[in-house]
Amino acid sequence: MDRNGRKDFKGSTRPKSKNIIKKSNYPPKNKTKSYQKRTIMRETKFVTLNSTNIKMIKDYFITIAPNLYDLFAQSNNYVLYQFEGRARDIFLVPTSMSKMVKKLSKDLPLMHAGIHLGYVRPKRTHSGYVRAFFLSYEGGRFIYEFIINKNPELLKDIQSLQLNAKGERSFLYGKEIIFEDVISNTSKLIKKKIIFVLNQKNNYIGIALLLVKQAGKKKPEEPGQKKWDVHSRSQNFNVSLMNLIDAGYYLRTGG
Amino acid sequence: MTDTKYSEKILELAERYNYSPFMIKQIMINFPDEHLVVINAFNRQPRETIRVNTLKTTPEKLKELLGKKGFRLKPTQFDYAFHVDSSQTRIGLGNTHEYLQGFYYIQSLASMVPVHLLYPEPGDNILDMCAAPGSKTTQIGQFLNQEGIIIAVDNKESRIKSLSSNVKRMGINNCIIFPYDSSQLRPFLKSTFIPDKILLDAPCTGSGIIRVDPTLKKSKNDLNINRMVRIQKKLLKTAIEILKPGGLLMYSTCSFHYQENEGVIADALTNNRNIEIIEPNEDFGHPGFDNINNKIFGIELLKTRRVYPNRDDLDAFFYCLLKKK
Repeated sequence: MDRNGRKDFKGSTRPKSKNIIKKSNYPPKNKTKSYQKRTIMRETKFVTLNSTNIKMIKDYFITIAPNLYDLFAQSNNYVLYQFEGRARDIFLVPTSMSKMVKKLSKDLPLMHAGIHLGYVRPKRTHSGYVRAFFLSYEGGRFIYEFIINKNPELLKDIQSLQLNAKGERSFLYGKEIIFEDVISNTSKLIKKKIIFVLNQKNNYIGIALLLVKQAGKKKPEEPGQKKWDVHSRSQNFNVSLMNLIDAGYYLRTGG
Repeated sequence: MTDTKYSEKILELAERYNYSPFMIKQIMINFPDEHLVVINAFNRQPRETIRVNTLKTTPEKLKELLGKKGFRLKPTQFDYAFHVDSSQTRIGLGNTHEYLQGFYYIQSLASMVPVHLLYPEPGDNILDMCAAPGSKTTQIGQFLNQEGIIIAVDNKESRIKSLSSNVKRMGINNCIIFPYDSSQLRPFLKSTFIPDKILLDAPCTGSGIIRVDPTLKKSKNDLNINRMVRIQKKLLKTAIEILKPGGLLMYSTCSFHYQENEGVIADALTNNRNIEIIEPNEDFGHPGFDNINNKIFGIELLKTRRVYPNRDDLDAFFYCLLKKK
C-alpha cells in the first residue's frame, strides 16, 4: 500500500484501514473451560497404535532380532498405544490395563501408561526427513529383559557389549563409547543395528549404535594395492560407538 | 497466661530461633508441653534414608553394593529401608549407578509410613490423588509387584514430568499417569475405575518438614493454612465418594497444624456417616489430638497417628486411615 509514494514497511506504525483488519474468533479471547479442555484432549489423546506405526515398530524389532516381533506378539501380554497429536510417544500397556486405558483416555489427558517403549519422530536420511521409530531407555530395558528372561534363544541374534568401570562411568555421562573400554568382543558388531550396553555386572545400562564415518583425509593408496581390498579401504573410515541413550538421562533431564 | 505475656514470649523465641512469630505460636499450640524441644529438634539435620526397590534388587544386595562405595547402611523399622551414613564417601546418594538403575529411592522414613499403613496388596486398584514427584506412587508399585493398577494424578503438569521419570526409573509397569485436579475426578472414574484403596497425601503447608526446608520457618501464615484446609476438605470429600465400599483411604500430610489434620478429619466424619477411622495395627507414632486449642474433635481422633521430630527423630507427619462402610 502506497502513502506519498512510499511503500509501507514491516513494522510501520501507520494505522491500518479498519477494513483490512480481520477479526478472527479462533482462538477465542475468553478461553472457556470447554475450549481449554478440548485443546488438552487434542494434544494428548491416547489411542491404540495405527497400522503405519505398527509396521514401523515391527521393522525396527526385526533389525534387533528377526523373530523378536513375532514372539512379542505371541506373548499377547501388551497392547501398543500412542499419543495422537504432536507428541508421538509409544507405550506398551499390559492387556489387563488396556480396556481401562482406552476408557479413561476418552475423557482424561493421559500422559503415561504402562511402559514407555519409544517415540516416533522425523529422522534425517540422504533423501530428506522420514518418520522413524526410536527406542527409549525403558523400551531397551524391556526388550533386553524380554529376551534374557523369556526368549534366551534370541541372544545369538542381538548385539551387546560389556563395559569396564571407566567406560560405564563415561557412558552414563552421555559420552561416546571408546573401544578400549569395551571388555567384550567387538569384532562382530555391525552397523545399523542397536547394541545393548551392559556394565561389568551384566546389568543393562543403555543402547548404542556402531557408527562408520568417512575419515577426513583419504589414505594414499599403496603401490600395488587393489581397489577392492576391503581391509585397507576400511582404514579410510572412523568407526565409533554412538551413545543412543543411557541410564544417566534420568539425571540429565531433571527427573 | 495472658495474651500480652504470651506475645512477648513468642516474640522472644521467634527472634532467638529465627522463626516468624506466627510459626512459634503454632508450634506452641500444637506441641503445648514440648515446644522448646520441638524447636530444637527442627534445627537438627534430618538423617538420609533410602527405600530399596524390591522389584529390582534385595536389601542385602543393595547394602553390599553401596557398602563398596563407602556408604554405611543402618537398618530402620522397615525391612526395605535404610538410614545412610555417607560421611565416608564423596559420592552423592543421587549420583550412583544403582540410583540410576532404580535400585533405590531417596525418601524420608516418615513419608514411607502412609503407604506402609495402607498396605497395598498385589491385585489391588489404587488411586494416588496427589502423586508427584512419585515417592509414594513408586512405593505402592513395589507393594503391588506389577499386579493391579495404580492411577497417579497430580494437578501440576510441571511436576508430572518428574513423577513419570521416577515411575520409569523404578520400573513400575502398571501405572497410569495424568495431570488433573483430583477433586474433579469423580465423574470420570465413576464407571471405569473403583479404587480398593486411595492414598491422599494432601497438599499442605509443609510445616512438618522444616528440617528439610528451613525457609518454612518464616514463609507461612494463617492464610496459607486456611487455603490448604479448603483444598484438603475438597479432596477428602472426593476421595470418600470415589472409594469402593469396604475400601481403605489413607489421609496424610507433612504438616503439624491441627487445622490441616484432625480438623479436616473431624469435618469429614461429621459430613460422612459412612466412614470410620481405623487404628493402624502397627505400633507406630503417637495418637492424634482429641481436643486442642479449645476445639473438641472427639475421642475417635485418638486413632489417628502423629510422628514428632523430637520423640521419633522424624519429620512431623500426620496419618489417618479411614474405612468406607
